[in-house]
Amino acid sequence: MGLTQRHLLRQLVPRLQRLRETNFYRVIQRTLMLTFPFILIGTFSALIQQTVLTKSGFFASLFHLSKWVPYYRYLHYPFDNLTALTLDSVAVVAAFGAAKYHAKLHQRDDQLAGLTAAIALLVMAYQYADDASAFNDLMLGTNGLTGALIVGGLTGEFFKWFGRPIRDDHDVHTGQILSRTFQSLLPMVAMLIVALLVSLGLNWLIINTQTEQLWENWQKYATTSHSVWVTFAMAALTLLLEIIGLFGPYQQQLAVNTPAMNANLNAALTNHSATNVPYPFTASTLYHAFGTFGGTGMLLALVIAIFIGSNNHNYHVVARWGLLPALFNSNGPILTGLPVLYNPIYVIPFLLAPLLNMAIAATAIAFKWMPPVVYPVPVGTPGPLIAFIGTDGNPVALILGGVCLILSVLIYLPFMSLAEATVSASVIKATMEGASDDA
Amino acid sequence: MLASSRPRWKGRVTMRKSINWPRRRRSLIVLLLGLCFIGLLIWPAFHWTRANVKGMTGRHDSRLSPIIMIPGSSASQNRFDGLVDQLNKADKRKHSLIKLTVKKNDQITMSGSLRPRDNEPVIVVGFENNKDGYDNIKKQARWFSLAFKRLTKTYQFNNFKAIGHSNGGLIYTYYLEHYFDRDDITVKRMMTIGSPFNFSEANLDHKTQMLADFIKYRDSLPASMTVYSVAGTENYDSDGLVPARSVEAGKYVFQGRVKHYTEITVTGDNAQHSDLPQNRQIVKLIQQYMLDKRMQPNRKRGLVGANPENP
Repeated sequence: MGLTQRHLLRQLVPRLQRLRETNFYRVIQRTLMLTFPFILIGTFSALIQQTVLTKSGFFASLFHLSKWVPYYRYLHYPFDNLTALTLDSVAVVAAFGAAKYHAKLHQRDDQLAGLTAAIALLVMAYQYADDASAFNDLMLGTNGLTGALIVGGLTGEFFKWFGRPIRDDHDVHTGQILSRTFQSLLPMVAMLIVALLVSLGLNWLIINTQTEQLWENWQKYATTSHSVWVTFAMAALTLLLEIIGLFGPYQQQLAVNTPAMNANLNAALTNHSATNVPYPFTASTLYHAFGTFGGTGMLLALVIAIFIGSNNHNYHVVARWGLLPALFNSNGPILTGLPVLYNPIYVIPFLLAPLLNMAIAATAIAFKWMPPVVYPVPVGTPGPLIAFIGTDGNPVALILGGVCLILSVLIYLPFMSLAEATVSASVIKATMEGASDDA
Repeated sequence: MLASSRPRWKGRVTMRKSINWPRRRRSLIVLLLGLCFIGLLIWPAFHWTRANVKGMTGRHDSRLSPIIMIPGSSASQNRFDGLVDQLNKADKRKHSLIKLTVKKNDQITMSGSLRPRDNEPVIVVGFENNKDGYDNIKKQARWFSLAFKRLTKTYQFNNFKAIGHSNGGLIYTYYLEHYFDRDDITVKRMMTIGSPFNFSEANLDHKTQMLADFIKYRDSLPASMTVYSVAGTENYDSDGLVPARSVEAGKYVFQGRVKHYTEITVTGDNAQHSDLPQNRQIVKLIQQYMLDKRMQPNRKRGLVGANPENP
């Protein structure tokens, strides 16, 4: 076993290392690093907002906070604000970063490129409607990361095509800065025009509302279906889309009370037992209850895998910061800090761990070892407790939650080691070449 | 690259040899603390879900189905005393009468009580500030939401019937559009009696701000509700105070949105606006349309709707 593992590492590490060192991947990684602190702050703010300051939140429900905390109704406003402008606007930072690093690679004016990309993204997200909020939330939040990277990359390309290289930054006086600015004017204008055209297209052709409707219908189909196969297929699709920075049909924020959930709850209340409900295999009984410990992709398991098996200092730091959010199912810090997003190494466990857990849960429900999750669960309930609460305190559900977590840690461990080996191989190479390419 | 801040390596990629124990110990302590934290939450979580499910089961199994009434402007919580008397006589049942008054400072006083084995009490919600006008209706709708919240805490019911006289119907409409959001409680039926949806404006081309708002937010009305709009008329176009056309304007709010919308016009004795709640015809309508039918042994309970449309 040890031998084959070493053999595999020797095979895979150089390939992954080569991928890491492509310009494309470097830009993505650095951009994600740039978004990381904003996502971290935003995640903690969202955590407090959702679990403590929302009435249906986990701590608010358990300890009846709304009843005895003074001014409880107003406390969430500052956190709403902070979350909206950090976590929910992080795509702007990503657009800035992608353009900046791309321009820097080609010795263009990186500051102007970054700012142009950020503004271009805002231009595209602007909605020409009177009553809607000014910007399209989907394009600016974490779901817009991939779009932002494309906008940033395109801006960088424009600067490469239309701009001229600049010499290094030392000892420039105002005149030189001015001439440099004028050299960047052409790519800036070109990019903004493209952004305006895209925005006009989105608004006039009603692509925005149409995709939103299409998306809503699709999600409705996904969440209302109660066939085991559709549930698993949709879960796999969600996971795949999320690891490439998009959003899938089972995304947590959008999950609402579905007819199937209501039917289950009604049946359970009528029979005074949750064992025989009409739809035992749905998104809420399988995916949300057993497949999302630590947010999409069971990332709580990855955090624990790092604690147990990693020897990389940065991994430990990110994991320690990410533990608390991951306990309450926010995966932002881990997704961008390691990063897991766009990381081919983690694709397999990111899909495998949740799907395996769902399969275990489905088996347990089918053999009636435990009832399906039908009762309401507060927002932000820690992953391993979701099934416990949702089954009215069934001990088997609690044990199964623990088993699922341990299995997921075991699934993540080898992939975490592979990622770590790739990182240290790169570090060694960089140190040997004596190159320090970090900004 | 990213992870280059402190390279810890000894010449080769050897993963096992360079384990940094203090760091790992720190991380494991963090992990242990995290797991203990979750562990400590198991007990409160268990209690919460048990209490929550018990509460939901109680509400779900409850057979209580109150009739909640809102009087019109310038009327108090005693407005419907005569109506309830007549109703009790006609129905040969004694419905409990519970009265709530919401003060200007959001305080609620409550009088009367639920008699044992009465599943259909009449609850009247009055307001200290019972003045007319759209701004006051908005305020009263908020006050009603407070009273309703208090009722749901005091009595476990999963459905209710709504009756609003005059502005009471408008307060109900505003409340249902802007405040009512319970999944576990349904409005079965609503009856508005002489409610001027367009205030004193008889011409339907001139929509008041209130009517425009009602129409704008009509999609928030519960779709499963049945609505009866009763108009009284002294002459051919008014009940002496409210134009029949203004009552009729309710169709723009409800028709096509709620399950059924029925307009009823009452004429004859006691068809003047303020007399409507005592009108014998209207008492009969309430008995026929709003009250639950008494259980009949040869039929299954729950399948019997009180609507004549779907028996």
